[in-house]
Amino acid sequence: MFRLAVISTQTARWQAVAARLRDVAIDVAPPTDSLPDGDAVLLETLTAPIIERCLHAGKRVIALAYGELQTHTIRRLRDIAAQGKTHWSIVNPDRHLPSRQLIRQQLDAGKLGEPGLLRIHRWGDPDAGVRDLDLALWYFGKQPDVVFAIERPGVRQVHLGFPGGGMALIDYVAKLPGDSRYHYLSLIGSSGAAYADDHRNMQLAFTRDGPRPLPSDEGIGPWCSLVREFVSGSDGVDAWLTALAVNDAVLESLRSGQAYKSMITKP
Amino acid sequence: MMKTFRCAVLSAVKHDYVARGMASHPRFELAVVADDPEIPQWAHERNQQFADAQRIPYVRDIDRALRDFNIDVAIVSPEAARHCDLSIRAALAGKHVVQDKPVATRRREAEQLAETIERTGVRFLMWNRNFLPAVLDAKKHVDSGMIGRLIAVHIDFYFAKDAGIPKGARPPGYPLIDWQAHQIASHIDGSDGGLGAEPMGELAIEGIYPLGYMRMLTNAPVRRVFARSTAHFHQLYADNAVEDLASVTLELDDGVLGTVALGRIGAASHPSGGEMKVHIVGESGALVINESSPDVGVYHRNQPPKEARQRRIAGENDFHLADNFARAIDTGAPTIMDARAALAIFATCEAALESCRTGMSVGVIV
Repeated sequence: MFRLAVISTQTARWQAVAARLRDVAIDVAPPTDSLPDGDAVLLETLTAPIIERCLHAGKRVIALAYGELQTHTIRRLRDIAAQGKTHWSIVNPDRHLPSRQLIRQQLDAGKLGEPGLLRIHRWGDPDAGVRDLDLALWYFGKQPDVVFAIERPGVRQVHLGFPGGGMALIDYVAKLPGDSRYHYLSLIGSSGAAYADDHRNMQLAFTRDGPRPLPSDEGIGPWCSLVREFVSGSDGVDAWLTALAVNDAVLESLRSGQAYKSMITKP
Repeated sequence: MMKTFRCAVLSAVKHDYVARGMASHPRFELAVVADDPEIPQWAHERNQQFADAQRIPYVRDIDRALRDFNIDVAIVSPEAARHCDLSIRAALAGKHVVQDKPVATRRREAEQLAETIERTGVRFLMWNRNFLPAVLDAKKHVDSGMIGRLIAVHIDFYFAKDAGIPKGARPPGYPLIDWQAHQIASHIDGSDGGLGAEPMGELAIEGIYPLGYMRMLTNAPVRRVFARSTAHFHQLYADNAVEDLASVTLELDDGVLGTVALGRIGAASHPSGGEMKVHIVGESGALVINESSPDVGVYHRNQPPKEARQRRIAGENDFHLADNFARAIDTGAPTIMDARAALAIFATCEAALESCRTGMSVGVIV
């Protein structure tokens, strides 16, 4: 039995995950200063002090890609893990969404052909920037060779160009009325396309205030998926470091007002 | 009784939907098809077929047709490279002009067209899709102030159509695919928007539509673009070094941003002709518009693979365009897309293509 300590305030979610997994025992606890029990630790946010304590204690660590952790800190923690002969990884939970998984499976099966144009609208989720860049790199399987970004108060647009002609358009809206969220992703490939669109997946309610859309969520599956993957072996932090490098290019383009054309450095 | 406008169809070798669209309005009457005598035989045959179908004469002399048939309006839809020439000749003859896209293949031609239209005082309508029901809805909601001041507009404009064999499918030893020959052969299914000897990519051919939406929704000129493009799907486009897929980032006046994603992405990539969406962000809200709404799903046994499963309904774009043009002629008001607007869109596409070549953002010069 694999014993996983989950540091989270989302107790109900992780209890639901625990009920679905074989051979994994999950203990959920809110963030504290004490070292959690278990073979491994899952952190719901990128929090350097807890990660460092766990790694020093020889525990495997998985941190979900919420919040910010600088590149140099991630590298330092990677070195600590290596010295302690343990392992830590950063996981983008969006990769585990059923919708995103399905698109990746279709790509891997060759049904969509070569990815050509990835379009993401990410509205009302201001912290998703690097996660979406990571998603783009995951789908294209390569790093962009040109990055252009532009922003105005409340909105940002990122335009990526990949070697071979692929491209991505990602736009962010910091806030929607009523703290709503909207997410759209389409991937146009050379022999097919996939559309994951909140617009299509809205249910409709009629209330005193008139018609109202009701978003559908993608269930508990993503959390089960990422735990299963972690238990069977994890990818480490290199993919996230690459996404951070692309994000640095985005910031450089925003600063200069020009396209950033240098190759992104490897982690 | 309102005046009925007599129309000369100046070439129907490309899309006859423009002429048919105008004829759907009771104030426009097709009187004659005309073209220059020296055009190829296949073009004469196509013109003759259209004239026969409409039961009107075909005259191989444009000047004579404009002079002898009491013409008010020229409907121009030849190969792209002849668009401006025919439109300018019609305007100089004092005829109002409705023209198919693209506006031109060269910057100078588009400029001459705009100058001629303005100098002669005739009305000009660039054919577009701005009166589709969903686009009108979007415009109405934006104008109502529902989402506050506009911040950004994002448009997806994909045609899920094929264009010959897929990229990479040409057998070894076979010659490059000839652009014009392919376009001529494609007339049967209406996918010959790039008809002409000179290859044109999707940005140049179809960019008018999403950029027309952008222009109508924002009322703001585009100032700078960054773009990427590639021949991703079709051997035809790869062989002729033009794009079938493109993405554009736009900076407009008043601080408005935008993006356009467009392409001819292959028939297999969408069940109903292509993903077309408009995302609009304002200071106090946002809109997500399905450009193909309203529609009805129709599915049946033995359904042809290329038949759209979601059928657009209530589309009165043709009628509204013609009505807008009639009103412009009556009142002297500008049309929904006049020659100056078409030139601005041409300049935006031109800058985008320059950005694709250089990898840099490029200012739009109008």
